[in-house]
Amino acid sequence: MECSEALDLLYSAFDGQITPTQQALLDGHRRVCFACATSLIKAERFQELIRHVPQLSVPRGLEQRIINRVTQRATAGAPAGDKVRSIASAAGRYWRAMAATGGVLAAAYGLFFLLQDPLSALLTHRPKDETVTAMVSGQLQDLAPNNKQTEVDGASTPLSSGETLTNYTARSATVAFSPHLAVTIGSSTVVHVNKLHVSGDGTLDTVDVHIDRGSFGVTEDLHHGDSPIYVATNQATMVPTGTTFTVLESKNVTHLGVVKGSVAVYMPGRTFNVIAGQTVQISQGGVLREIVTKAKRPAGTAPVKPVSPAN
Amino acid sequence: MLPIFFGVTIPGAVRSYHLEPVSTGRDMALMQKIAAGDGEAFAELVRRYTRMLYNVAYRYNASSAEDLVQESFLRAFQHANTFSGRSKVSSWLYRICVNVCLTHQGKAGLPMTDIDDVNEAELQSRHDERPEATAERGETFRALEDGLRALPSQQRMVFILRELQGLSYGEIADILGINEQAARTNLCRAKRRLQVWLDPLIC
Repeated sequence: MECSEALDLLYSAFDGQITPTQQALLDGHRRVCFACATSLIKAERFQELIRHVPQLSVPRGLEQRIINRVTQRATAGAPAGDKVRSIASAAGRYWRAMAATGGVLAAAYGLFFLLQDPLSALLTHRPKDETVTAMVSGQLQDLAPNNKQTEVDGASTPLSSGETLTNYTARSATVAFSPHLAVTIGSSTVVHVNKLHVSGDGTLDTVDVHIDRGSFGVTEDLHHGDSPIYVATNQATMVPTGTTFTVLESKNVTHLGVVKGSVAVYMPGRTFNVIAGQTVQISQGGVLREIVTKAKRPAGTAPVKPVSPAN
Repeated sequence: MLPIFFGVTIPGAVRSYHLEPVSTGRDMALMQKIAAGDGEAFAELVRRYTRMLYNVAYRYNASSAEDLVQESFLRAFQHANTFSGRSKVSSWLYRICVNVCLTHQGKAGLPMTDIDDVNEAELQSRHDERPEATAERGETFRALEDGLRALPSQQRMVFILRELQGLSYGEIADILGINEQAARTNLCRAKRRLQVWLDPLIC
């Protein structure tokens, strides 16, 4: 049997499409062929990885936006205005019904909390491995996935995956996730915490945030060269590789300025590094501008080449 | 039971392969109401299937996912009277969404870097930018998404529908208008390419 056939058979086995005879052939090949043993093990790990790819949650408000958009488009294209009214009123009735149901559930929820304190931790949407106690300096509004809203004003506060932090004030606020990682949330900025993860030993290993709008700064002391924070905008995802940097999301353009160290930028179809002293403007289609603001580019490093959307 | 009763969702919970119900008489009735202009029925369709379509659209093209889902539902609304009931509503919606994604790709002229076409220097540069030290699971998922978007459209869509949405080969063949063997071959090629792409991150 060829090694490539073995891999095909393994993929078939993952699908449950392998016959006992083929399974015996595959097992026999694995015993004698050291050349593809590693490849087959990696294929199994790859399959395991795929199995754990999480289903994404729907962005907040998307369903209503769809209904609204279809209402608008139908208004433009369909003569049957009653259809449009029907959709809009259906949506309204739905949300009113949801609000009423939500009110009843909220009351039951509160009563339950009073009576069942030991279970409260489970019902507060704060899984231990997805919660950190952050030190907040400044004022922020914290909106939990269950729509519970909390005003945070210069205090230590638990933060979990799925929460949205909004700075409505005129001054920046700072959130220290750990002694090594602090972020600055500018005025009129909305940041969604996609994912927080704390490993078994209490180390913060993932902070995955999305800048919905506004400005966001990161100050991080890297350990062993790796970083737990991912900063995404609609245009790109940025991962520090050693670092202090700022991100500004404005009018569908991301402005990234690196003060210290470097930042890896991931975009559909390409990745590149931005180093200290560089500022880049990133649109949906690629890099618009690269500006070297302070430091000279070190010898041997490539400039960020602008790309056209059609590239 | 209690957390379920109170509608609590646990972030990071393991994905279910069966998010959407099998088409039933209720589905057929729902589609007939939508075809007759019943907005409440359309809102019900949106509530039931948005997550399913969003997952497909996001994996196909993250930056336009929301627009793709909205366009899919708009087309579903406009063509509800063409739903014959011979397939599940979910399959019908998948087919619409797949067409919207593929059409969008063509219109936008988005960069289509084929994994196999990436030259050695580029691969080395990408490898350097993704050191093993940062190969946490989140990073690996991101790399998987990057690799996925560099696959040819059909391989990408087969991978999404089979591995991430859990559809059968028969359903995939029906949605994409190809035969089951072609679906299997596309999946096999996609997985081989992605496995090579992720090799530095699979320890």
